[in-house]
Amino acid sequence: MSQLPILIIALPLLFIPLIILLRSNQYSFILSIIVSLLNLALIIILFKQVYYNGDMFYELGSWPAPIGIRLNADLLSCYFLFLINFISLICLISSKDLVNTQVAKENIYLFYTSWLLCNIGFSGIILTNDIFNLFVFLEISSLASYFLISQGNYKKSVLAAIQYLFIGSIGAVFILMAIGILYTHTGTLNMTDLSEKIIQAKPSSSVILAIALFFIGVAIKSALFPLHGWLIRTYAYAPSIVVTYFSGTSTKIGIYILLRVFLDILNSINPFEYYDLAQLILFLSLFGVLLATFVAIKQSEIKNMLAFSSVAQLSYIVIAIMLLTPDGVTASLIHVFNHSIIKTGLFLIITILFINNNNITLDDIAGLNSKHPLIASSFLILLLGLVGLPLTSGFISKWYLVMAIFKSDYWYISGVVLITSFMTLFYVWLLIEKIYFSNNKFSDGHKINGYQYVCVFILTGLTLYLGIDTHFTVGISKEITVNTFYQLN
Amino acid sequence: MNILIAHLLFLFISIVTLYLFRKEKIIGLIHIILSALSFLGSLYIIKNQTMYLQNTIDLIYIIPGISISFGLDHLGLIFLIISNGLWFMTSLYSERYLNLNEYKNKSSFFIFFTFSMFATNAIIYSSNLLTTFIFYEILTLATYPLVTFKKDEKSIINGKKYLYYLLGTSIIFLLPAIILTQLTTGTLDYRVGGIFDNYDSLTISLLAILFMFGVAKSAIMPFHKWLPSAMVAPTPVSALLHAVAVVKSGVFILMKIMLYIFGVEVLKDTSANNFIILFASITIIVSSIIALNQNNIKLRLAYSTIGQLSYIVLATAILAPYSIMAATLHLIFHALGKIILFLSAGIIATQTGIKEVSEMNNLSRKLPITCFLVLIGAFIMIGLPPTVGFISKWYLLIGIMESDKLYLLIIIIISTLLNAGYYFPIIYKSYFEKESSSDAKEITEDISLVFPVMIIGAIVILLFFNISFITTFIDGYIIRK
Repeated sequence: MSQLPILIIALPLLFIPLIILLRSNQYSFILSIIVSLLNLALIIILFKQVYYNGDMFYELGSWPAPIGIRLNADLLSCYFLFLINFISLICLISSKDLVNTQVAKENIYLFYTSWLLCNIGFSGIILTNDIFNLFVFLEISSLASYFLISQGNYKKSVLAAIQYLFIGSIGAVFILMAIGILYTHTGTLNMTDLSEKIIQAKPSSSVILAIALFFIGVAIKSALFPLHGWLIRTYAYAPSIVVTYFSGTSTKIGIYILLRVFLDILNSINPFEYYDLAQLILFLSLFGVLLATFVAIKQSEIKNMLAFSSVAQLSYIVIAIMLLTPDGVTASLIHVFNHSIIKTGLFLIITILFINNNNITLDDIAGLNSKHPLIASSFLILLLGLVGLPLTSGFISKWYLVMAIFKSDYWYISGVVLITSFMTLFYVWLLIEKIYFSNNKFSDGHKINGYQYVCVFILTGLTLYLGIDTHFTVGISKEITVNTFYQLN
Repeated sequence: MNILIAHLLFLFISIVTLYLFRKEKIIGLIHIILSALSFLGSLYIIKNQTMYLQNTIDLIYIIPGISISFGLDHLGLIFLIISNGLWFMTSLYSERYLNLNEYKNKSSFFIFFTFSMFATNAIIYSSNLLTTFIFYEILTLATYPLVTFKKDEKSIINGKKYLYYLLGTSIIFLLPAIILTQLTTGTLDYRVGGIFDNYDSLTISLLAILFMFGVAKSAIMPFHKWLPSAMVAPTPVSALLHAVAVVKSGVFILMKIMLYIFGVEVLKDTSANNFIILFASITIIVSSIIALNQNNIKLRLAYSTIGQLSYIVLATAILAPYSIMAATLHLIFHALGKIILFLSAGIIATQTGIKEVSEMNNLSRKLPITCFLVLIGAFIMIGLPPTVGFISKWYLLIGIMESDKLYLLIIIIISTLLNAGYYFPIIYKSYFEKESSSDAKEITEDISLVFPVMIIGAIVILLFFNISFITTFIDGYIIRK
């Protein structure tokens, strides 16, 4: 039994009291960076061990599995764990200088505390093998994120946080009820145990109810169309560095829960077969892609545009999952990673360019090329990645998505997917024209610090690198599909 | 190190060099030197062709099983020498042209010009569909800054159209076609005789249509609008890129798909080529009719290009040996003829400010050499002797008679008449029409502008009398391989 899984959760927890006790703005930043770096190092070690030696688990207090709480790290966990913590670290590093202007001075140490707590919640969700603990960690991350959102400098930031609180709580209650129903049917909360016992439980209407509740809860948390309203409001009013962090993480956690619960734990009872649930979600998401893309084209506020773009991209991921084929799951996993990197990069650039975090319209970014040519070219590459042009990671995602759709029974939806992917170009090009062809002077005159440059270049570089060398994304995704979801095939 | 990779690497370094020495005064000269080196390199490759043919190099596997890989085939060899040779000629022309027209920001012009040629050469060398697709998209992106080079309202709108048409068709048609090919055959390599072992006519027909519309750089209607839009660019761009490099890449890719992805037998067996013949025929006729009504010289030439490109596609799709010969020959001859016309149009616009056909009255007195070059170019387009246009049309007619599609003769005859209909007014006006208002401003032809065009003109005339080395090459290597 290795201590690694618990360390990933416990280490930040040890640092948090220190940050609160020190109450220093500067130290809280440095400590958060240190703990995130350590955490990422641990995760890479864990990833390697899991990759070469297979799944790893940790039993809390040495209580054996069905009774005690167990942490379980398989490839799927490591893949998401690595992604989430990597993005958290990138955002933390570039938050230097930013937080001072966006967050009230006396709250900065609490801001970093909440950030770490939120990330602990995410890591916990990914690592736990206990379905009730999943709920607990979900609440930890949600509570922390309410605080993070409310720190925005808008009047409406608090309102957005409260709205998120209400909607998030509704989602959480749904999940809790679903867990309750599953518990009464199987008498266990351990995921591995549950997946075995759920077969013996007779397929009754209450199990179907549990599936429905769980799905709606997850759909709210991951902002699946048509439950994406909170995401748009949050992205508009939260501090932009928090938006950057959430754009790559919080919705992806929803995707993780979706994959883990529905395709892993409940896989034995085929939860998506009831009432053709998969088909319903598939077509809803397809409609979501269309709608979100149309709306994104009409946006004049850049963060809103990117938020709707996120809704569209998430719908692609859900479409891939709902094909219910190994290729579909692989495509979704690849796109989760690639899209996180690209979208975080885009939001990060907007964040560091406009630290005041006011409404950022298309005209504000005009003339960026003459002021910050390097940032402008990074932005260009990331946008091309979003469209999915070759040599960017977006192309790899698209290749596997279209391939999976062609191989499935739903080959005819490929047309909609391709056309919407082309329509991405419409709003992307609005930005590019402003950056490169406008005669306006770029007005925001503040300096971008070296850390922020490096972070942007890392994400841009990754977008290009993952478009050329796909051993990591494609290889790991295929491995996960075979190991976790389709063992029998 | 492999020479093909070396050539591409050289072009890439050229881009970097141009970026590093981006001084307005010397950049034109550097560009000329680089294009000359690239031309010499391609001559060297042709001289030692046997060493490099059928020898593919896998650079990197970006998707398991599919790599970015480069190689050279005989069709590529022809396109290679044409594009690099004409690049050198155009580089001589463009330095002078940009100076006379007082364009600013010459350095970015030459950088993206070289970038476009890099992409074109990479398309020529690519030895599977994925590599082709990657550089096809890069070529679109590399030419976009040249189309929008003037940065005014009109060029931005046209540039957007250009981009949407080319990227849109490649995303919506070409990409799924490639993925479908990969799924059905398990490979994307170009192979003589095609890669389809088992096939049904539905899949092949669907793929043929997807590929035809997907490679919109070949400007088959209804996805041709980007080409007239691209005419806002400075003349060297219209000449080299939108009469040679970009459009011929499209046709070249379509030819390779028909010959080396589908294979002649498969297309004949499934009759999928009929779709391509149908759309190419429509394009030939409709574009010629539109060209009749264009008063702007460059637009008339652009619609003429659309029609001529479809000649090449049509000739390939007929799939008879002589028609493939005609297609390959026309790939060369149209490039030579059209670049003469565009460069001459550029000279006329630069020296006299004339951009409309109706203003060309008695132009031959002012610009005798240029007007004679226009005459040669027009003869090639119509297909009259003693120009090479006649030869390719001759082979096309034989090819049609060889096949069982005699009705296509009607298309060719009508379109030849239409071609004459829109080229003869240009010739007639410039030689015989009296000037309406006599502003007797004396103009002397700028010899350094005309010189590169004269060389191309001389080559065209010489080729007419000594064509056998090309026809034997095509006959021996491309048709009967």
